[in-house]
Amino acid sequence: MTTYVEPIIAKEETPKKKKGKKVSHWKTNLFVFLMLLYPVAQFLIMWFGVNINSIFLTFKTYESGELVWVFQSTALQGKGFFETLFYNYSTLINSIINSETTQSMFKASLVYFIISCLITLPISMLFSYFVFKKILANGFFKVIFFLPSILPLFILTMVYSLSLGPNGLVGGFLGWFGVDATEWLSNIFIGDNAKWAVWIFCIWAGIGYDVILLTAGMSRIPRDILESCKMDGVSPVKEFFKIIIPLTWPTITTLFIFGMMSVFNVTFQPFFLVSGQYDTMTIGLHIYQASTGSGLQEPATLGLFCSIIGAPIIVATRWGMNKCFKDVGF
Amino acid sequence: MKKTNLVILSGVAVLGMLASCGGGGGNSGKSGEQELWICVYDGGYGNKWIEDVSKKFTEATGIPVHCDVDTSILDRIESALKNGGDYDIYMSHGINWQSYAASGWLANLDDLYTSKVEGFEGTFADRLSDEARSISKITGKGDTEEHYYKVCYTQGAGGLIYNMDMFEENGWEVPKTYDELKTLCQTILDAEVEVEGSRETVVPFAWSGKDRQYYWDYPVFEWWYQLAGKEKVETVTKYLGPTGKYADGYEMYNPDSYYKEFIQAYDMWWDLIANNSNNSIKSSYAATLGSAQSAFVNGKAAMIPYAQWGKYELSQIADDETLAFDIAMMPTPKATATAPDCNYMVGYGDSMIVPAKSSQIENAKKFLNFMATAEACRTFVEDSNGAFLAFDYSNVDLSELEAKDTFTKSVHEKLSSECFGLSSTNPITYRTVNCVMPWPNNVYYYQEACSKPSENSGATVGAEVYKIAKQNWPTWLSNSNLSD
Repeated sequence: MTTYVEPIIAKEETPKKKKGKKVSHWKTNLFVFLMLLYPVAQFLIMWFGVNINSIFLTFKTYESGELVWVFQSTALQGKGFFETLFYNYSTLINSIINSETTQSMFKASLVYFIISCLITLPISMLFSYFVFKKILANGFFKVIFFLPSILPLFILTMVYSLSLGPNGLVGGFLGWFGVDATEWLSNIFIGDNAKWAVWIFCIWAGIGYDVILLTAGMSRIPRDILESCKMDGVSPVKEFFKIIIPLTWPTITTLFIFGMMSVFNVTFQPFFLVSGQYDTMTIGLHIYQASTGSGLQEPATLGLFCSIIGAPIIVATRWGMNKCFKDVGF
Repeated sequence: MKKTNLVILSGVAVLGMLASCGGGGGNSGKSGEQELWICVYDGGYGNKWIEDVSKKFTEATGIPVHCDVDTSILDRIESALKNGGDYDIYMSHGINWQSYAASGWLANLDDLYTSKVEGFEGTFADRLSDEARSISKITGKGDTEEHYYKVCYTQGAGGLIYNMDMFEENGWEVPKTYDELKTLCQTILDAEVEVEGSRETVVPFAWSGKDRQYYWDYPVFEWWYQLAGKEKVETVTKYLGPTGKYADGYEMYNPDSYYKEFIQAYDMWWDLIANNSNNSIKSSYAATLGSAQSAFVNGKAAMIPYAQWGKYELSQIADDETLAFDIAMMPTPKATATAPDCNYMVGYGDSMIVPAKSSQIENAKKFLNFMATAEACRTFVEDSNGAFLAFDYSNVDLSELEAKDTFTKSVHEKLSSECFGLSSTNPITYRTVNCVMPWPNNVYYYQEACSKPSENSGATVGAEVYKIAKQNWPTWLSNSNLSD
């Protein structure tokens, strides 16, 4: 019975398969084309187009109501070739050298490297380890850490500033213990304190994001490795530094790179909390605010300048970090 | 079959995603239709006025109007003007109209200004003050001379709003001079008037340092104007140097010469508020707007710095949206006894514009023309609880309204005094946003001055302001592509 049926099926299916192959080949190509169309278009328009346009902007200037190439500007006539070509860059560099406002902006931005990479990330690593080890009330801590990551930034800054306001949650809490902290709380977002308030916010809000990625990375570590550590009597500290960190190094590298990029990315945290006042203006916030004016060449030049300085440093750091724990894997 | 469906679905999804990346294009979709789309910034005037005015306009012309009141206009206006958006008229503060006109994105409104307004003898231009007309003209793209590209939206009054009932009950006189204001503050503190349902006593001022410290600008600017005089203030706001060139325009911030009176005015405020913390509700400098409003509405303070939208906003947080007492805006107590009464035109830089890509330009002009009629002007005042459009109200009968609303009457009276604005036509002011303005770089000192009074006196702040302007001037100048 079996030997009789099989050849018939084979005979009948052969031509069908051939026909089907031709059709599916055409359909597959169409499918692939349509699937690629959007990401390619997205790349060309939103990345390539935008970036090329930004680069062009750095060689333009504002004249008679519109942005024109620097060489077309009548105000720049009579200047040398390079002086004209790099007019926007020389303006920026002069500003960095001479203006305390610009210097303060760069300093305020660079601080976020320390905050993100050297404070938030190590703290996140520790907390992630606690969560991973399922210490007491780890579920509660998970919520505490994750909550800032799922709320919109505006809400988060509002909650933070209202809680720390003179009549906020913290003031009320301290009031139960007879502590009148109104004056102290009134000054939290003013003057030199403002910077600290923004930095602490960034640490608090940043931990959640890092913890999410790190716990995900840690959860992929095979249990048998950890069980063998336990059987060998490895202490938690040793386990953290010798096992957990090497095995989650790719995640740590990614988060470190993200942290470095925060130098240019921190934008709305100081804006929502203190309106960018009291030396909290960052490069990102300045670019955002300057982009609402008509002189778009200035934020474009600043952006490109930062990319030129920042990109090689970030790439070199990534390369260096990838060298570490190269032979560790599971 | 399944594969075919998958391919079709994928195609539809991709096309859908691509379509969603497209611009607004609302106008192109309704070109030919007789419908006007208006977008108004939600800035304390409510939406009732625009709905009522639109309704009356539709009744008069038969043109339907769709209006949206929105707080995010400014985020997308540039893109909408450039690429074509949904609206035929935009009304907001902070519209960078000079730049848009220079880019060719705004409709020329010259014929609107020469059109007749129903119920009036003159033209639309005659319904506006000289200053309102002069700050609405610019040389746009392709123009050889100046043309009108905007209409001023509101004319405002800012200053000190006071609780009339409280003043009357306690026999407090409205102060006419700065010295009288200082005396009044002491009188209020000495009176120790108890706040109903609280152990607290009434203090002179409630204000918000966290959200609205710039409301103090309103009395401070008027003191500056009174101390310096019209001519000097106009000289400063041109932001040209002593030689008439752009290059040393920062000299306008020199606290020893051009900006001397501005710093004096700030010092007056400093002495009244920063150096006398008892004159404000505790921690006002860190309070939110809501806290300040609530304190005033609940009778904890006798005065609050505010502007013409004050009654509308304060009513919003009161029970049943009605204040339990009458309020009025006092003429700002004069800097000196002999100084003239004056009014800083809050919001005079606000604009009404028509996109060049609108398909309803003529209807948009008709609507703007309708806004200049007595009926529309009156409706705006009534619905916004005392705010005024930028048109001339001398021929608009508000007697009925003013008889029942003390606030409207007080604002109207304040607008009748010598009015001045601080808008500048210097290109640096609109090519570098938030840089060149009375407080350079948009940095205010009121809040910090209350936190650390000794470090923020007039002398310190004056030197700081001058330093900021001087250091950044070359950059601002270069970014505006202006040499000398």
